[in-house]
Amino acid sequence: MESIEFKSELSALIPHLRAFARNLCNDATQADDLAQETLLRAWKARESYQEGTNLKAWAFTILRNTFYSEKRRSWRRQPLDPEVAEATLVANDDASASMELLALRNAMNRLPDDQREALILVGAGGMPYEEVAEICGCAVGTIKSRVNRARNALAVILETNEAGFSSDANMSADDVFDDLISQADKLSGPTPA
Amino acid sequence: MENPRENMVAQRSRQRRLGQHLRQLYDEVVSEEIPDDFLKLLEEADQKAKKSTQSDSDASSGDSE
Repeated sequence: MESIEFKSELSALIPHLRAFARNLCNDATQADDLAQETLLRAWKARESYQEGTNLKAWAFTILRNTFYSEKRRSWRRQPLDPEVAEATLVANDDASASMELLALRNAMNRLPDDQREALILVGAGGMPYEEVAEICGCAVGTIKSRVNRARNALAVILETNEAGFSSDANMSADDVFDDLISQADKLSGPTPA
Repeated sequence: MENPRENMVAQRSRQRRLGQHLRQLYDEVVSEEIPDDFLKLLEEADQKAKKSTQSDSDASSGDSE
C-alpha cells in the first residue's frame, strides 16, 4: 500500500484508537499516550500490514499489545482515580445518567483483563466477534464466553454494590447525592422539621 | 413469590441499558475532536520517512505498477 494511502486510512482510525485506549486505561492522558504510541508503532510497522486485510483489527492488535506490555511495567499500576473518572464524565449534564456511567466504569475495572477487553471491543466498540477474536488471538467461542461472563459479572457488581462504587469513590458518589438532594430541597422548599 | 416473567423482563431491560451505557462510553470518545498532536505525529513520521527514502532513492524506484 502506498504510504499516503496507509497514512490516511490510519488517520481515519484515530477516533477508534482513542476510544479503545480510553476504555482500557480510564485515564484520558494515559489513554492518549497509548493511542499515540500505537500510531507510531503502526506507522513503523506499515510494511508488515497486508493490504486488503482489516486495518482496524491490525491497529487494535498493536494497541492491545502495547497496553499489556506497558502495563506490565508501569501503566495502570495505580488504581483508577475516582476524581479523574468523574471529571471525564462531568460533561454529561444528566447527573443520574453520568452517575450510572461512572458506576459502570468502576464495575468494569473490577473485571479480569480478558473479560474487560472483550466487553470493551464487542459491547462498547460494537466489533464483530470474529474481529475481536483476531485482535485477542483466540477463538471466536472464547470471546463469546468472555463477553457473557463479563456481562453477568457486571450485572452482579452493579446490583450488589448499588451504585457500583469502590470504597474510595464513595466520597464523590455522596457529593453527587448531596447535590441532587439540595436541588430537590430547593424545588420543594424547606423540609419540615 | 417472585414472578419469573417479570424478572426476565426486568433483567432484559437492565441488560439493554447496560449495553447502551457501554456504547456511550466508547462513542463519546469517538465523537470527540481529534487533538492536533495526533495528526502532527503522523505528518512528522511521514516527513521523516520521505527524507530517508530520498537519501537512498536509487535503492527503490517506482513501485506503482
